[in-house]
Amino acid sequence: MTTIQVVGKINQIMVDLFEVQPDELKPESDLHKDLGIDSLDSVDLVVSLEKEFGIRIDESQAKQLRTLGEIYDLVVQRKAL
Amino acid sequence: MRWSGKTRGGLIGNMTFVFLVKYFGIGAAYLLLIPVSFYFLFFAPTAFRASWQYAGKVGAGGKHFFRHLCFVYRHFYRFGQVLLDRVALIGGASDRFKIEFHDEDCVRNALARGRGIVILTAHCGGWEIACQLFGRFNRPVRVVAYAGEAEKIRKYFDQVLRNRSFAVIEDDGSGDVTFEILAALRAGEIVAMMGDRIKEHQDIHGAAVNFLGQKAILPTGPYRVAQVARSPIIVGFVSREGTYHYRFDHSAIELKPSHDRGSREAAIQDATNQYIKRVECFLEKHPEQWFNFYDFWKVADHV
Repeated sequence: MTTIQVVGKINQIMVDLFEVQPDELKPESDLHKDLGIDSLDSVDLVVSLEKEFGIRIDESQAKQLRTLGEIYDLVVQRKAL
Repeated sequence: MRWSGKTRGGLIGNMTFVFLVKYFGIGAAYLLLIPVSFYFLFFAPTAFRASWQYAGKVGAGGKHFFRHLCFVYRHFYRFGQVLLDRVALIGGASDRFKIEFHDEDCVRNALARGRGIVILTAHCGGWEIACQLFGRFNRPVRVVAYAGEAEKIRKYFDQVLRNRSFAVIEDDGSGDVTFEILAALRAGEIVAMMGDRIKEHQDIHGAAVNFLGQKAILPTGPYRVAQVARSPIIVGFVSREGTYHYRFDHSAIELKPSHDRGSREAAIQDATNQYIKRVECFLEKHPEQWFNFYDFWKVADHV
């Protein structure tokens, strides 16, 4: 899986789970302020990422995620692309 | 109006009651409760209004002013009794209490699924006693509690209630608490949460329900976390049946599977409706054991 594919899948999760508009999905987008993701959505997102990519995201790491770009980086890193 | 998280009664007041329970027995503390409950009738207007309003909704006081007033008094008194029982029971005199816990297998079977359990209760009956009961399942028990209580009082009760069989996850409103709950459930632990109060710091993402004939808003957080962790939800309440006698009744809530935001919200709405019906059933049998002394329904007016 390439980095572009990972980004595409994460964006698809954002659209499917939270009905975010595709044009809002930028690496610098703040999950809370720009995309309207609250703390409960964050938990949902983390579990969906784990399921989609077959990775385990530690709760302490998950708490640190603030932007969409940080999510891309975390998943790419975990998939060791 | 939403619940501010702070309860009335200062540290000295609480210490006095604990002293009486410890050195003179719970009967002496009940005696002091008689004038204290009278005091609350006259000097706790918010609690008084809330109890009065609630009495009207459960039809407890009828249309007679005096009967209504008597209910409010008994309501305050019962609240005090449950708090004192908690001190006695968790503080070290648990052998004096008879606690009925039916259908333990239901809980054991849910735990055997390996996804933890969400115990959903409410501020009615002896909810802290309910949390204490889960110590018998040999799994860590965590109770999600709002961190708005005065520090001195909280620390004091941490010391007094030293035999607690549960740990507290403090909900400080930061949102990080959600991940702590998820971690506990993933580890197969028991997590107790309140399904009735929307706190001041929470966004209004609650579900509207009909509660005692009027629209109320309930938090959806417990269902969301259970849904994500795929943990079973058990709704349970501990009723005070008499002196030294409590009973725990519980039943599972079915949370329908969901794949998108629409079906997720529908599933949560359905679960919230199931929950509030069980609260109503509990209150039908125990009308004096509803312990939300603020305008519970007012928040719905702003949504």
